[in-house]
Amino acid sequence: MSAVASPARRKSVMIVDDDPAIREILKEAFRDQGFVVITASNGEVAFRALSSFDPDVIVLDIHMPIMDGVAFAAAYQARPGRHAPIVVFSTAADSQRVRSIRPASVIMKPCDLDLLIATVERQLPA
Amino acid sequence: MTEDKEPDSTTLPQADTTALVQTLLDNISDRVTVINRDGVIVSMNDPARRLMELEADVSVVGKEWSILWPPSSHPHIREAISRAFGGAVEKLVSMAPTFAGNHRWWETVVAPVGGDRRAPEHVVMISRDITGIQDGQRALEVSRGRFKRLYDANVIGMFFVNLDGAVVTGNQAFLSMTRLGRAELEAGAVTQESITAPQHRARVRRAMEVLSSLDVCEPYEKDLLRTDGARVPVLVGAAATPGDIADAIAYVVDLTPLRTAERELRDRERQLELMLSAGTIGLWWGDMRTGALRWTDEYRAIMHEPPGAEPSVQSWRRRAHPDDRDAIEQEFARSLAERTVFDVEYRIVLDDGSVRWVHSTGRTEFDDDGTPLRSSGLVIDVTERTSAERARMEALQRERDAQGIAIAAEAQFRSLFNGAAESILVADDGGRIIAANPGAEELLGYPERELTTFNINDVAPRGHLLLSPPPRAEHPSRVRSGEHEIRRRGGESVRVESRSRAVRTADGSVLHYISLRDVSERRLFEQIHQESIDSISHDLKNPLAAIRAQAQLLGRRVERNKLDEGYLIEAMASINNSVERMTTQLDDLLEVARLRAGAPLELRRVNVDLGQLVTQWAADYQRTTERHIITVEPIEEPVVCSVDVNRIERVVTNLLSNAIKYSDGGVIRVVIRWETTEAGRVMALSVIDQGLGIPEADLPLVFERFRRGSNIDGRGGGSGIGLAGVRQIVQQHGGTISVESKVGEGSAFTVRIPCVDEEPDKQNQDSARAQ
Repeated sequence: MSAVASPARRKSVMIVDDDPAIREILKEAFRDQGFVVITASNGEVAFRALSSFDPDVIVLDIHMPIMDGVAFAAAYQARPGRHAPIVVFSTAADSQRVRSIRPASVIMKPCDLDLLIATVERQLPA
Repeated sequence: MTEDKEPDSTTLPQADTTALVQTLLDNISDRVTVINRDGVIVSMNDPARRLMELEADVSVVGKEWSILWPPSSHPHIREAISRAFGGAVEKLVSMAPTFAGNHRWWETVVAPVGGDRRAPEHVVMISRDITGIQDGQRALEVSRGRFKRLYDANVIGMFFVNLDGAVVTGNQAFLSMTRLGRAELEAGAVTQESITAPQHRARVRRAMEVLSSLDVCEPYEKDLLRTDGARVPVLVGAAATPGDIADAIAYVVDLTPLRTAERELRDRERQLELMLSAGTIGLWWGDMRTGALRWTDEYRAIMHEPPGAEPSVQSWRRRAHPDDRDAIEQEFARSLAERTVFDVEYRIVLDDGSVRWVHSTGRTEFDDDGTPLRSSGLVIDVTERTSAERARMEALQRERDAQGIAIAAEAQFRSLFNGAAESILVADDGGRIIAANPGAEELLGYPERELTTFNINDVAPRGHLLLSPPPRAEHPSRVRSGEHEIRRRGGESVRVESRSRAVRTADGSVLHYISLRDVSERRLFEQIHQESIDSISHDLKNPLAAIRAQAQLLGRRVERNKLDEGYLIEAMASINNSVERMTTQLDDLLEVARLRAGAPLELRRVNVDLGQLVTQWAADYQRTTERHIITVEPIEEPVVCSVDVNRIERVVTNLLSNAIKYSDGGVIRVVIRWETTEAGRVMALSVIDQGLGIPEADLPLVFERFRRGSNIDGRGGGSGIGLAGVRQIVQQHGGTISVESKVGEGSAFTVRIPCVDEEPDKQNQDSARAQ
């Protein structure tokens, strides 16, 4: 890795989005920032992945097939244990349903990549 | 007085007079009593018994007249009787209860009869039951209130008019009454006066003045001037509607049928009316076996026979107008044959050649063998009518009109109420429902007789109060409108728009008029529409987000000097791909707009192997899902069809995406096969899922616009063409689409398209030749 002193544990993010292009770009971008990245194409896949992966932050799309972002967040937050902060990354960010999952932050698509990365980094544990 | 005494032409024997009056007046529908100078009732006709509800074994003959009238009316009746004994004819209206205690209004004529005109031996009182007419007048007041409320409830739009008389618009009934075309009306040249017969225009101006000062113009009558020049008698009323599209709303009721009925009624009443209003009654009677004739002084005077003239049929014939004699004799013969009353009006010619009109009525008695014994009758001079009599006639006429209008208004109200497309409830001030029209019955699911046992709060949940506060004066309250849920039979909620108005009626009570309109379908439409917009926005923003993020990522890597060429090529391809996705989506959007507008498509048919294409599309969709397995079962030979490939792709992918969206997993089978029908070979393609299924009741609706199954909730609206669009494309290919489904088991959609693989080529060649 780089010469910069890396912490004992690497920072991690989960990208949940049904758009493969967005998943790929975000994966590249967060990797560039030194994140461990895992992606999921919908809420259901993400929920299963969380049994073996515990990310620092979750970047969550809302409109997705099979299990959408709101249903995923509800199921995730109902699960016992620590809950990673959720950054909603979606086209419809202001609806009642989105607010109901109390996201740490909401970023509207299409967004500024720097803003998204900065927002996610702010959510990292101290 | 004995039989063999010579007939006396100037004074009648008392017994004869009484018997004669009795016989005659038993055949009149009015109550007739004869009173002697002592005030004692000497006779009474049969109808009086019935009208006074007198029991069979009770008689008032021999009692004083006052027994028939309540004490409060005694003074003026006593005076009328006393004046009649002085030779005058009196008419009065008073109330008297029957012997069964029912209150009735009577119009009574008190007239001298028998003996000397100025000193008659008897007075006859002829009383007519006019209770119905009095009720009619009261009903008129109620009906006026109804008319006003009818307008207030906004159930009838008739025509809107400004205070300067300009008619702004009108409903269909108004247009057909005036024969105006809508365009003509709305061109703005129609005024109250232009649709009114010239002689009534001043009345219309006055009505508009009243309207402008009082906000209400009581109903009045006028002749409408139709555009074809015809005049129509109408009742018109208006009420101010400040803030509406015009200053006032007015209504018009066609009185033509009423007028016709009134004329008939008037004709029937006329004969009796004449008798009652006549100054004097002359009596005659004749022995049918001997031909001997006798008459009273009044008769002699009416017929202008000289004093001392010998009564005879000849003298009567001489007096009767030659042109009328046949008619009189025919009427008399008819009454003999039918043994009924004769009733005839004819002219008499006086010695100086002048002509007068008399009215004659009477009947004949028969013995047991049917031999005529004696004829008797009465005659009235009807030539002259005093102005007072005419006024009375007119007053009566007005009463009749009032009654008729009341009935017509009630019928009109009911028919509008029942015919209204909206659901209308009428409630009293406590909210108790007192009327519901068929629209309300349908909306709420209860018959009117059940609804009238409900309170308005039983159908509208609390907090959604439908009623306006009652107004203080006899003006309508403002309209209160709102949108809320109501409960139907069985507890189902329906979203409605309600409009209500409270009206204080003439008797001070308050009525609420509530109209309800089911807006649930419109709301669903709006919801689906909104979901479509959200979905379109989502679909378009995603590739945009990808492009922007990609560009920024490239920028970051350039800044950090970390960009390698391989990734750059990959990123460019990704951007290109996103742009293509957006283009496709925009094309889809246009197609959706076209299909939703129902516009015909220009099909670009080419021969393709559908089996191969469908396999490819299914593979594309397989990549979007991890929970489903999509299988394609094509027949072995190529399925070559002439179709518009892009459109058919929309059809197949729409069915595939529905199958994915509405099933939580499992196998999605795509089956292609040939079917042979009378019309030739048909390509049949089915998409069969193991999903939620569609409730049976929804099946006929799935291909309708803006429909979705009742068991589908929150599964996202589509920006796609929808099943309505799918059906449109299939139909334009000359094909059909059908669905079979069972809740919990899945759905199977089947598209059938007739396929002739050479035809399109030939067509292309044809069109190529043509060019």
